[in-house]
Formats: sequence, C-alpha cells, structure tokens
Amino acid sequence: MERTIGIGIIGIGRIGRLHAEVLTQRVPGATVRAVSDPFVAETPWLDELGIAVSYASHHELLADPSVDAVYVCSSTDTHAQIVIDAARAGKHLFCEKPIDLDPLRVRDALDAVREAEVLLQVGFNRRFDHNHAQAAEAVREGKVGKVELIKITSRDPAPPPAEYLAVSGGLFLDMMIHDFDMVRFLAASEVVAVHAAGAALVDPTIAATGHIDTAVVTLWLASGAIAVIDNSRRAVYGYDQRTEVFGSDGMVRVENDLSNRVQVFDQYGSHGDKPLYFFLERYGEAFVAQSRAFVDAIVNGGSVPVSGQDGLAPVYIALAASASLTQQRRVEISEVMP
Amino acid sequence: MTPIRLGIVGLGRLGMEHARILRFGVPGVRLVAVCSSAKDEVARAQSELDVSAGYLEYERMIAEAELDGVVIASSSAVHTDQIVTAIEAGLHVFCEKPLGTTIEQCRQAEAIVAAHPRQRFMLGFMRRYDSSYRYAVQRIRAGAIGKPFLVRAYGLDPDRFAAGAIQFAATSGGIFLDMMIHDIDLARWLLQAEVRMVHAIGGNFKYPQFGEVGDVDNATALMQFDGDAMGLFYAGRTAAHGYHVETEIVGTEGAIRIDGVPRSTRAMVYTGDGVGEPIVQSFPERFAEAFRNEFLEFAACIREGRSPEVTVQDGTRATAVAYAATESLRSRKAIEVRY
Repeated sequence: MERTIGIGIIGIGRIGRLHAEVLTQRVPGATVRAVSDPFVAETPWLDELGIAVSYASHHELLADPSVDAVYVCSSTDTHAQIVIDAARAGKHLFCEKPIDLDPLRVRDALDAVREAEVLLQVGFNRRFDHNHAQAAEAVREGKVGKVELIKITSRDPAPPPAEYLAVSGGLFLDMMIHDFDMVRFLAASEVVAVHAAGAALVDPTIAATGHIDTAVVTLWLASGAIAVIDNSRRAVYGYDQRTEVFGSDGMVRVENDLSNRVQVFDQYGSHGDKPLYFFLERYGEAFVAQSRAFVDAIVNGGSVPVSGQDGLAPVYIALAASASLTQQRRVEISEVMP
Repeated sequence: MTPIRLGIVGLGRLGMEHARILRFGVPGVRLVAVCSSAKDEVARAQSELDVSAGYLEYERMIAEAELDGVVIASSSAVHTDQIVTAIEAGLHVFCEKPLGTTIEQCRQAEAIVAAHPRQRFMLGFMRRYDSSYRYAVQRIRAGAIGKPFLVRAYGLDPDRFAAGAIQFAATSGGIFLDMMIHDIDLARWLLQAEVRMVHAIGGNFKYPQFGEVGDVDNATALMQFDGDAMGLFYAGRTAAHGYHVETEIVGTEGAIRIDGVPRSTRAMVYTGDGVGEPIVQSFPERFAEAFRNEFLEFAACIREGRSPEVTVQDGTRATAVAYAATESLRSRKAIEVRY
C-alpha cells in the first residue's frame, strides 16, 4: 500500500462515530487522525478506536497537516460553512447529506470545492447497498429496456425525536431526500417536476409542530419516465426499503433484506423474519463500501461516485415537494431554482 | 482496549480472505504477521494489507512475531502440527476445519488443547456464527418445530471452483472431509445428537481427475443419529448456478428451511426470459458475516477468558463422521461410526 490517507472527523454524534468506526476498522488505506466537536467530553470510544487527537473547533482540525481529508458529520446547519473552510484548507471532503437546506448555500460550498480542486463525496449511502446497486446495474445493462416507471417504498420503523425534527428541515429534506437520490440513480435522469401529498397520521407531537409523517410524491423525469415514492415515519414491522424499476423489456424489483434467511413452517403457515430494524443494520455494509470508494478515489486519483451535484439536485426536489404540498399543485423544479 | 495481536499462517484463497477480515473487519484485533511457504503470497499479503512482518517459516513467526494468538488456514495435513507448536509457545489458536486429516491427529490436538486450559482454542465451523443458522437453532431450542428428527443439507461449490479443487485433490482429504464436514457439524448442532451410522455413495460425473486420487465430484450420504434422527446430505463440486448451501430441519410440529434459493441480493429481474435472481457465487460472499462473527467471538473469548461454543471435540467428531463416510464410499457398505 503506497500511503495511508489521514482522516479528520468533524462532529462526533451518532453518524460521526459510525464513520469513525468504519474508517478505523473496515477501510484499507485510511486512518482516523483526529476529530473535532465543540462537545467532545466523555467519549471513551475514541480511546477504543485509538483516536488520540481531538479538537474543540473544526478550524484547529483543518490546520492539522496530518489530516488529508475530512468527514463532515456535524449538524446540517453547519455543513456548508465547514465544506467551504475545509476546501480552502485543501482537504478532500466527505459530507453527510444534505450539504445544506438552502440551495444557494450549497452552491457556494460547491464553488469553493471546485476552486480548491478537492474531491467532495456526498453521503448517499444507499447507492452502495448490494441490492440497489444490483438493481441499478441491471437497468444500466438494459435488462428492463427503456425505463418507464419507478416505485420506491421507504418507511422508518419509528419517528425521530422532536428535537431532531426542529432542525432537520422535515420529511422531504431529512428522509425522502434519500429516495429522491435513488430515483435519479436508478433512472440516470433528472427530475423535472413533482406533486406531493402529505399527512400527519403517526404521531400527534409531529402534527403539533406542523410537520408531516406520511407522504406520497409523484415525480416526472427528463427521460419521460414517471416515479412515485411513499414514506412513513412508522412501520411496525421494521425498516421497509423496497424498489421497483419497470421498463419496456421487463422489471427489476428489490425486496427487503431480512434479519436472516430462515423460513419457519408450522400449523399457522410459513413465516420469515422481519426486515432488518433500521439504517444502521440495513445499510451497515453500504456505509463501509461508501467509505472504501471515497478513500479509493483519493488514493487512485479517480472521481467520487456521488458528486456535489448529486448532493444539490435532491435539495431542489425536496423544496419543490414542500412547495407542492403547501400549494396543492404540480411544481416544476425550475420554479425553486434560484 | 489493548488490541489482540494475531498472526496468520496460510495465505491461499481462504487464508487471504481471513487475513482481509482480520485486517479490516474485526475491532479489537490487530493482524501483525502473515506467513506462507509461498514467497509471492507473503509479498502480496504484506502489500495489500499493510502488514510489516512476513514469514516463510511458521516456527519463526511463532517465535519472533510477539503474538497473542495465531489463525491457522494452511493446508489440512499440517493443521495439527501447527496447533501443537502454537499452543506449546503459549498462544491462543484459531484453526480452520478440518482439525486434522486423521483421527490420530485429532486426538493429538485434543490432548494438547486439554493440557493448556488457559489458552483458547477455536475451530472454524463458521456456519454456526451465521445469523440464519443461529436463528434456526434458537427457534428449534424454543420448540417452534416440536422435536427435530430430520436434517437435509446441501453444500455445493460452483463449477468454476472445480479447477482449483482438482489442484488440491490429493491433499484435501476428500469430499467428505473437505466439504460435507461443515454440514455434518451443522447437523450435530441442530439435532444435538451424534452420528451413529453412515452410508455414502458418490461418483465422478464431470471431472474424472478426482477419481485419480480416489475422490469423487459429487456425493450423497444417509446418516442415522442417536435417537434415530435422520440426515440426508449432498455435497457437490459442479453446481452451474453458484455457491449453494441449503438446509432444512424437519420436526414433529413444523420445519425450518434456510436458503432454498441462495440469493446474493434481494433484487429480482423480470424479463421476457422469466424471473431471475442473482445467486451467491462463493463462500466469502455467503458467509462474510459469519467469518467476521467467528473472529469477533474468538477475540471476545481471549479477552474474557472463556471457551467458545465450538470445541476441539466437535472437530474430532465431525472428522470421525467424514472418515466413516469416506470408508463407506470405498467399501460400498454402511459404516458404524466409532469415536
């Protein structure tokens, strides 16, 4: 191995810790040199992972010459500024989705990345899932012919806490954004318009904040294909992640990964296990593959598989969906572009 | 947490797979040395895995590498000698199946393990650490299918592995010791019973090369367990569609089935030719999680000073059954298993 990429992780909440664990234990060619977090107090897991350096501010981390690349895992409202700071410091970037809730700020961040000529990969981990990747490959190989319909079902096992909803931007930006990305990924075409229906059916505390927890969005694509996504914040049987791409020559369908491959037959019938509980379980290996691809792009000087533009496009789609929900009409993506 | 320092011997297909997992998949473990008698394998492993210590001689690695434990993934015939060397040097040992290629070797391994109770020994029956098999055992023990009385087990390698298997045919120990041993161990575990009698048949239907060393390319075995439970086993080296490990456990109140279609993903492709599902193509793909789990368990056992569920005796028992099956194939008679 020629060299080891030094990584700094900015923000060490749940997702920052996950990336730290993956990078330390599962990714060849990378080592986590430092973390930064304003609340870096009692974190014994840093010792367990052998991460010795922690800074209170991301500026200190960016000044560390042993850091070649950073993972931006802080709260969404801080992403864009950190991306700009890191790009100017000459660090390659992995940024959790979304880069920002405001497309203008995303564009500023992407401009800084372009000027600094650093790599930026956005954390749309589902593209690296073995099922979705296989489905996309089948579509690319022409197995379904010309894509006409895409159907995505994406339901969380349980709603997030109210504090999260206060800063997340709501269902379209914190949850369905993954599905918007999946539509673009599977169709290899841009979304041109959306129509959204939404409701608060799951949790009265979500309803009280004016947010929705259940939604269906119809999307029109530049290729002429139509897509539909349904989301719910609560599925009693676990994390429901199903996808279908239908075209002129056939269809590819992705079913849920279950906790195991066992079927039990008894007097009541035949039973399989539930879907894997949530994203950490369902997409655990996708997180590994995602970071391996990022490190590989740095080491071998290739391009990243999920670009800054891939980070921006779903933000526009989410904003158009929000507008559609409020105005009860079809909204063109061009309407929400600045 | 102080990392557990492990060395690995054997860097062939399985050894290299283990080395990758140990290097990049097992928290709390550090792979510090690699060893193989093949110079190019050592060089490749060192550069791919960024491991500074490489050895061509096993004894030197044991003596010099400052290890807590060793993972043995070398050829079957030398397993026992390497177990003895490592245990006498005070190391914990993880050994790939089979424990040995003769019952005498197995006994020798049992004796050295028993004489050093503070050192951990684990045998690589990784299927016991696969989530599906663990779930099945949990359901069976909870009484979900009543009293289990039949195990039907398929263990098929993809046809494209046959060329490699032919290369090692002379030293593999034969199809029962090399392949069916995994299902023999599973059946003992699922049924909680020992094999009493075995009748095996087989033949060379595609690769006469196996016949030249007294082996077969496809074999089946019928086994009777204590308490009259039954086992139907099929091992083959010529599967056209991929790596196929399928198991069914039938009980008085129901049945459990694992992987009738060994899917690699949950994607299904519907075209004018019908519905296609991609199939698992190799053991590292099907059992990646199990390989990682067994090393996690090995590390936890070392750290916590306890013994793993898979014991050295499980190795001897499974080997004895595989031997009886080999003898049955050759003698064309049912064989009673002696332990």
